[in-house]
Amino acid sequence: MPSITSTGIAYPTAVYSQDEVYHGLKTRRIYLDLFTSSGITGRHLCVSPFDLPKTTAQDMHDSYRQWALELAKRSVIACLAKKGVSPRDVDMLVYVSCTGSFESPAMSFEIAHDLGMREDIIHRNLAGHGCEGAIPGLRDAWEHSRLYPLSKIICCTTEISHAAYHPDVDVSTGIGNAIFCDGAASYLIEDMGQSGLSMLDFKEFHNYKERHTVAMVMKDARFKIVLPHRTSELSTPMACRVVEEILKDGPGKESISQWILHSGGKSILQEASEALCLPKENLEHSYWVWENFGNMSSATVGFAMNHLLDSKQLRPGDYVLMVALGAGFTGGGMLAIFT
Amino acid sequence: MATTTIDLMDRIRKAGVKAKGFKPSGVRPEVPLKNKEATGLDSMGRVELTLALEEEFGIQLGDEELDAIVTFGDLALAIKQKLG
Repeated sequence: MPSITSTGIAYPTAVYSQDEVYHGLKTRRIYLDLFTSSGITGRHLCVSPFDLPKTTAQDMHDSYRQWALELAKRSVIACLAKKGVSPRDVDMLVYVSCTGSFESPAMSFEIAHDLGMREDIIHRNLAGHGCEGAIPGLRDAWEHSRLYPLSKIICCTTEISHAAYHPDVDVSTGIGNAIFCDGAASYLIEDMGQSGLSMLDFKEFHNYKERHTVAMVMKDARFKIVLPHRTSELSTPMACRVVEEILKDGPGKESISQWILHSGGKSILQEASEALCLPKENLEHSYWVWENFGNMSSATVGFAMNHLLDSKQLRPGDYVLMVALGAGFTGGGMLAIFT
Repeated sequence: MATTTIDLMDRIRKAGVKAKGFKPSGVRPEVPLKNKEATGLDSMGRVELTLALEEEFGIQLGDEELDAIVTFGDLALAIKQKLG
């Protein structure tokens, strides 16, 4: 059964307080409360927030290319090193991102080149899924692994959120300025009796009517995030739907040992956990990510997964349910069992 | 005719309904905006209230003005000064 046998994360060493980010990004005063009440202790950013307002669209594009490659490679290396796997053993590389430009060749080719991967590997580059991107990325890896069980697949989710900084002063940028940061999370997917987190099922649902409500658009040649005032009003029913559907023919909700929910915002976590009747402890890894990093879009659930696997809490037979939410408006879930 | 504080409080109560959870009964001069129990507003609610008031009165409150606002009385005064 295809399994996640390792994970690795990478993030910038520079960490800024919410106060520093607020002042650096020259955010309007009315949004200050969103920073101070967020519960995020520090924001990891590749570039000082004080430099971002001076940037051009080209600067942001270049910064994405530079830092996405850097963090993606570091997360892949960290992921492979835990299992003693060489980059030359990788057969497929799935790269997921929504915060930067997609030139040709796509980022996966740069990663493969720099890490010395073979010339016959399969490349997949997924954009446009927003914060939910890890689920389709892992699903592609899962499906490939079922067809080719000898394959070693890397799914690398990388978000350089600072590259989507936009000088517009509106609610979307006010919220975005308060919560996003940079990071990369990679997963190694293998089969052939490897111990790990065996992926049992995936489900994704799309609320097309709200497809423009949570989005990443191009404005004045720069990416600009679009967010509603209260994403939780969309995300909570979607998270519940994903959980209900993925567990319909599987184990009951009470059988899930570990939950990973997209740490997209404090209210997203709080309201979903209330609706799902989950105590905060059941989402400890998601809260850990939120409090120590914030929202890293598609890389966020990977940070929680990495924290869970490193914690050695899982015992054989434990079920894990991971739910990610993002543009579309999409909710995606992965059910897995530790073997 | 000059806008009175009472008029302003009424308009704040009416415009404030655009903010989620808003309790018009909490709009009293002595009540701090951050008193969630009285106002029903969380941090996003306070953003929504400010945006609603800026739209209602056709003004934009500057950062220094917002820094000085603690209570609804302060808010009404800031709006009054902005309206001239």
